[in-house]
Amino acid sequence: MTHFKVYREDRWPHMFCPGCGIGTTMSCFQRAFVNQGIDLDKTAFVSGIGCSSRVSGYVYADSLHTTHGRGLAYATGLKLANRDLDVFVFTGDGDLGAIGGNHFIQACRRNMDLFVICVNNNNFGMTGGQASSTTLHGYTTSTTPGGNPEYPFDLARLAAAAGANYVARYTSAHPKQLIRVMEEGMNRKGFRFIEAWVACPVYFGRYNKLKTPVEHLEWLKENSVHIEQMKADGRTSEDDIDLHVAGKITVGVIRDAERKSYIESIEGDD
Amino acid sequence: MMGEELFLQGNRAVVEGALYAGCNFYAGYPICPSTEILEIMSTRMPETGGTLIQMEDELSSIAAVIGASWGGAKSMTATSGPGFSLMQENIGYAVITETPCVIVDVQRGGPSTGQPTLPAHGDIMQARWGTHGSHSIIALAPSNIKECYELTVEAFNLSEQFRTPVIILSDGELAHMRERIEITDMPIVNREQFPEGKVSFPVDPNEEGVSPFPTFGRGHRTHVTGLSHTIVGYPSEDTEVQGKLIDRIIGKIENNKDTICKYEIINPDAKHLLVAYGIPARSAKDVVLNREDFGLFRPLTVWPFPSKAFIRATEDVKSVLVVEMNEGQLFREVERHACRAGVENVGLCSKLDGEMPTPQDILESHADMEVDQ
Amino acid sequence: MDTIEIRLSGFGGQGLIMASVVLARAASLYESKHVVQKDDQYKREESGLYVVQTQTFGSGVRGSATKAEVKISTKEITFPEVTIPDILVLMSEASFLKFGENVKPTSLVIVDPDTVKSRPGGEFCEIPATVTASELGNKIAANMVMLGAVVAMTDVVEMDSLKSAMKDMLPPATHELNSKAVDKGFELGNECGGRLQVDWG
Repeated sequence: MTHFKVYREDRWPHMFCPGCGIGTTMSCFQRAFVNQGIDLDKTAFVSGIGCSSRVSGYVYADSLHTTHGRGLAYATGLKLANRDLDVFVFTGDGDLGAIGGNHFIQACRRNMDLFVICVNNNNFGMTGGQASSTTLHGYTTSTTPGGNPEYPFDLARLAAAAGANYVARYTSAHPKQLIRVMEEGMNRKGFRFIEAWVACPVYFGRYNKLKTPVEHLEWLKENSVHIEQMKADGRTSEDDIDLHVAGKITVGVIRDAERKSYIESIEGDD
Repeated sequence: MMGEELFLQGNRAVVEGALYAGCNFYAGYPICPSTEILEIMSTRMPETGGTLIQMEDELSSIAAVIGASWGGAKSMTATSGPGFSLMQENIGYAVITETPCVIVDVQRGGPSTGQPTLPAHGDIMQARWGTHGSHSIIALAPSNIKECYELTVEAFNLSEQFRTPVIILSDGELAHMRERIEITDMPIVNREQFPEGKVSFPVDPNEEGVSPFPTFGRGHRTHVTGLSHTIVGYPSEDTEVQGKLIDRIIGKIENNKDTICKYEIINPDAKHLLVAYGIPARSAKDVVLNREDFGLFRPLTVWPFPSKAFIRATEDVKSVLVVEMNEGQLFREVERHACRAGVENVGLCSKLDGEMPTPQDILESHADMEVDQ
Repeated sequence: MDTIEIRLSGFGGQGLIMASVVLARAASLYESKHVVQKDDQYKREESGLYVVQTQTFGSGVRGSATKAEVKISTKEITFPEVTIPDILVLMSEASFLKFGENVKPTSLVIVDPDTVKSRPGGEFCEIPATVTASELGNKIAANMVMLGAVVAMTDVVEMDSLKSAMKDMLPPATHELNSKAVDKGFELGNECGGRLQVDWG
């Protein structure tokens, strides 16, 4: 079983709810990781706090489960202290977009040599389904009973605008594509950012008429638009933001650049 | 540089002490009056083969320092009051995950933005209890430039030996003051490493209560979490696990106070005992050098407070006067030990305006206590 | 005489903190012949004078009030700040208003006549440091003119010591200007007649 090459068998089964998309994202990651033949002994996983941040505890490698929102800062120190380590960060929309928002854009700006997977379930799952910085406008959560009056962050576009080298987004309804962009990201340098929109049927789904995992997955699939399709339709990024607000999700590779990574910059050209 | 005589600013002495101790990772954010440490490190780190990164705030600075420690670095950050407040949650993470690292708090007047360039000792209790939860902490307070250097070496040594964050409580006066120091040989302690390769957990703590450190990238495949965890490192909601963990991480400091605590005593037979640390201890020493009836107890280790030595020092003492640049933060700790030792007259000479207490201030405070001479 | 207390005061940008560091460094590292002290705590002997340099400054980098102090002693210096200076240099009106009258009858008070409007009630000397430095090429060297004058009037350190410390601390590109400034200051100091003889006996 390739599974337990990557996961800690003695911590199975995991704690995620039935139908939760974190499992799908983990599986996609495990496939990509095994396909790329990366050495677990030369790999470290870092996470903050939240449902998706628990992934670091299930991976059979050195792993640092840190404080809420600060995973990227811990990962920055770890990577700089041991540059031979491949450092992967698992995070969520609350951890990364709300409490850790500044660390997120700063790490992108530095083009820090990190691979980051953000599992975006549009709400704070672990604390019971409160609104996060990616909850869609008008949608219901336990803290926006009358509908969310705020507008969400588009995390992938935020990362791209802040300077991350490689940015891609898919949903848990697109496992094959997720594996593909994860593998592609593993072959890039600098800040690599994969955003995976996932089902949270227990909270976000329940509040928003997506009670079963299947309904939630179908919703994700129906509302996704590929970035190339967007371009073909002649839509501007302004339209895109409005679509996003209205519940449309731009998927695909958002940015694929070759800026020098932070470590390349400090080590020079020699 | 051994044997070399240097005329150094306090902040520079901290940097040189850290480098002597083997510090090879620094993360920080500019804030008065600690900024020179970041600036000087930005030259000295590359010169000595280490890594420096200027982070986006103090939250991320301490986080990067802890992350770097798990990558095998000897790491440090420096800040001042407002930044120290921001660091508290992650200092707790370093405590529960037993991560060696050094935090320099160059104290300034507060609360809030307060007096950015003036000294104060308003963070004594913040150093002790600033992070939430039951824990113990080591904090050292230098009084001169030589101690800025030597206690920074000592801070690294203690953090490596006990796998715990160590705080240096400097202040705005010491930070910018210059004196001559001579660099002398000091022992260097490095954390005990986990045995090579994949070994079966758990590895038992040594007699001091400290486990060997499983540095990342050596194939140990360790899980580290700020949640209560078993000796293997896995999260646990078991109350027994929580109890044992907290007992051990408190015990490894509190049960080793004889090794950890450093203090200075002058005129041990004097009738009146002054207790002072940091920069005001210089004024206290001035009094003691000029008056035979005054003695000085100066904890270099503020936390854990050297209570045994202090109680011994209070024998046959008529009064104890604590000199502080705060409203009496160490005073309460001193007072409870003094009361236990049977000293009835315990007073406080407190300065809150950003000026150092003068020897005259101390004598006036003592006169106010109306102790029988 | 076992202790000398020196206060330099003016505004940010005049280089008074740097001047105090140079003077303190000269006394600390280059005046080793005077005394030998025993350091009981660390069981070793040290030669030279005890020196402490301190400073206070405002948040403004340029223009805010600055106070830079040096204490030099043959005995251990406990309280590090100057209480009443033996040597007081005034380089701004604000510094005069704050510190101008806080002196002993024996204190040497030096005023830059072009940056300080008022004059002390007691004895004082005028050293036109800012104007002199401007004439030499840049008023930024006024601090070194003042140091040259202080050395001439007090012998608090040897000129050689001061120049060694200047070499350590000041950017190489400024050495020529600063060297001229300190020499000119020394001349002005000798001419102005004020004197406070420092003798470590």
